[in-house]
Amino acid sequence: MSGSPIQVRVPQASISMEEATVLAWLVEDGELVEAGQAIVEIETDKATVQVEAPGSGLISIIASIGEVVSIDGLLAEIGDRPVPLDVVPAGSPPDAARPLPRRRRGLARPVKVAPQAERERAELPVPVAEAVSGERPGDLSDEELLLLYRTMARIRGFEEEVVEAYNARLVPGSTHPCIGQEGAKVGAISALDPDDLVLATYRGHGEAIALGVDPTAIMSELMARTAGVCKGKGGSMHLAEPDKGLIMTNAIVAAHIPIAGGVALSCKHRNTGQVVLCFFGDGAACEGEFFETLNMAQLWQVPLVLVCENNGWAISVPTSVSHATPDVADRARGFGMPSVVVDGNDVVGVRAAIAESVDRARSGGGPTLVECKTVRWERHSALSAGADPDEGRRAWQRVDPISRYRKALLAWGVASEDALDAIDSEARDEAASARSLAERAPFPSLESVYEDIYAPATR
Amino acid sequence: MVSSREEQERVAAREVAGASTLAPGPGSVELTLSEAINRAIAEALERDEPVMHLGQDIGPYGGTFGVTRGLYERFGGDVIRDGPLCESSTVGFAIGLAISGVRAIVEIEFFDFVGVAMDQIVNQAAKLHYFTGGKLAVPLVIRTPIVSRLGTGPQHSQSLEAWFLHIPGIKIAMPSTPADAYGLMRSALLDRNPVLFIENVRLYGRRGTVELEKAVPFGSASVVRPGTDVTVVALSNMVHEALAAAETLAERGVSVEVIDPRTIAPLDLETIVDSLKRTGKLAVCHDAHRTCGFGAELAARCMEVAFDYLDAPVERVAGLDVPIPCGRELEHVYPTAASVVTAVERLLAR
Repeated sequence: MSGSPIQVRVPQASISMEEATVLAWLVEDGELVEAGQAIVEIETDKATVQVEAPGSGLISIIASIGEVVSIDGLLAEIGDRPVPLDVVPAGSPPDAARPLPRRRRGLARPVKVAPQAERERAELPVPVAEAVSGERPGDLSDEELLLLYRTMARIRGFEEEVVEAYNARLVPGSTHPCIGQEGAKVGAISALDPDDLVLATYRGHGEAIALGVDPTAIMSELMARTAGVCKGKGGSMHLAEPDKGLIMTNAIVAAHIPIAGGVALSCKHRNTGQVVLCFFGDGAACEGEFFETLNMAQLWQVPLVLVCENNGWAISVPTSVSHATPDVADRARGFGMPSVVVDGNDVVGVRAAIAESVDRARSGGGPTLVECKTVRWERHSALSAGADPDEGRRAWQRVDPISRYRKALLAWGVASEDALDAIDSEARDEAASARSLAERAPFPSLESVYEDIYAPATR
Repeated sequence: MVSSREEQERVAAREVAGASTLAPGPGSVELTLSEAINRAIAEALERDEPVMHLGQDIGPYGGTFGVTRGLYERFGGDVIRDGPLCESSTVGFAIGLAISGVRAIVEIEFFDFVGVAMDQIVNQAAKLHYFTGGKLAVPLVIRTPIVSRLGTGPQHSQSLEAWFLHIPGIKIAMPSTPADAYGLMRSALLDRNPVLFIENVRLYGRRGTVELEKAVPFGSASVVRPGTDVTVVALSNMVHEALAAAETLAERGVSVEVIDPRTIAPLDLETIVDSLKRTGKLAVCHDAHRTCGFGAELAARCMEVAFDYLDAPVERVAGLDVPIPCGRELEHVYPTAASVVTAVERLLAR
């Protein structure tokens, strides 16, 4: 976008009004605003109204608070959008910013979000940073640092392939990509021992890949083929590969949290030395079973690490209208459980926080709640939206954990642009191959619906 | 038409029966039904396999109705684990134990409270094996009593087995005698599937001979009284009401065959249909509400497989379709021996 600035003027909010008083600016002077975002509150003779930005770009505030401006008078100007240097580095994969599917299957309608909520959405769930910060972690070799990158890239490549496959009608039902949340998943799982166990949610493809589950078997499951990890009967929301440490992903929000507590109690009871990691979202943190598990896990001091990926949204409802307090981590305190808030898009930061929690759990110190602030991909799922896609996309891309980490690796001299490009390329190839093999895999037989209703008496 | 789900249930039942050794045990003992359950649990706890019992009041208190009495003292609080009052996550924790190497037992104090744990039972326990393509098994026993006829009112008196009969993937046992309670619990604790074990406060004190180390396989009905004129299928305490009715009717020269399915999932339809083919008349008895109860399902299945043998419409002897009021004056909401007699007389009048 370039050219003359867009002018923000006092709207005619009622027939009788002649002027308005500026009550409050909802954005800072010089801030990047998005079209439709509420930017200023003005008072007319009838009511207080919020004025939305007519376009996107950097705002220059003209009318100050308390100033009386007549109808059509100038409030602000919106100038050119800057190139956000920290967001999309030159070497990032060309398709990382691929437009996301707009087609909907008719089950979900775009959701209109309240102006206040829109304003809060424009501000990302703090404290997810846009810029790279921090020193290189001293305990990780170049190879280990690159593995974090490679794993995130593999998940991104996989999920982008899933979106394409979904649009090609190869994935039945719905699917919940974790694009933009790779940092929390990879950071957390990288802190585990090989024998440790993971339970996750319907947004769980990333956990499966990070644990080493074969991407072709995952993609086949998404496409409901026999070659899938659950014989094609679980689908996108139900993945299980216990041999790799993935107990399961679950589609009832929060139901897997007490189950994870039980798995951890089992590990403690059998004295196996394993730690259980349980991923869930901010939505689940409002369910009773979350609170019940905080109580029981702490009471029984089980080796459990609860990882809340707080992306600020439960489908269409922002945490600002669903959570009484801004931090999920605070909820652990009521049960005497240690908790911490981390930037969930900082893969090495997440890793450090989880490693400390895992050590505590393994040494008998009981459970920890780690809240990873992150930003969701533009939609809740392929089937349901929940936020304006354009707005949502820009939000997560500003803090994309992969782009951020890429810049860090370059700054730390761990890898060259070419080397990272090669990893991206391999990741995309792997995903394409998984899709291609899955597409050719057979569907289950009709009779198979009757298989596995009951477990046989012996293994 | 016998559906493939029934075939599945039968295969599962046969496998469990085969797995449990039916070798002659160390004799028999006289126990109450409550003691019989306690004994089967204690024997499972003595096995090598890790087992844990969760629930509120199951520890030193010995269970709301005394079923776990003495287990805490014998096996300790790690294994007989008193926990918070939260049915949902208690069942959730139990599922977690079960899928990761610790066989789990949960007590839900009144059957009515099962609603609080519904998602864990219906969406988790019953489905994990299926949706993981068989990778996870859930060896879990949920024990809960029907508390009927005690005047405990609408939220402490219900028989809710039909809710679970509707869901594939969960087995349902409803013992009516100490021997069956022991034998079915023994099978339940050898099974690798979730089992809803429905007890009954009115039966806890009932005494009987229990053959030790004898498992009762799931999916095997018991012909508790042979007869030739009418088939009466009854669940839980209604088995005893049906037997009393059969006694009354015998005095009038009517021969009633009383069948206790013992497990309704899997269901031994064969034994019931064999009887029905001989008598041509069927009554189904349970405390649960009439609408969509087990009786409705059994009537439909019998119609599907034995329509030509039915000489009269199937009689349902069931609880009234009303919330259960407290107090003894309104106890006619429950069926009794007299209701069974009336139903049989109606069948014979056709």
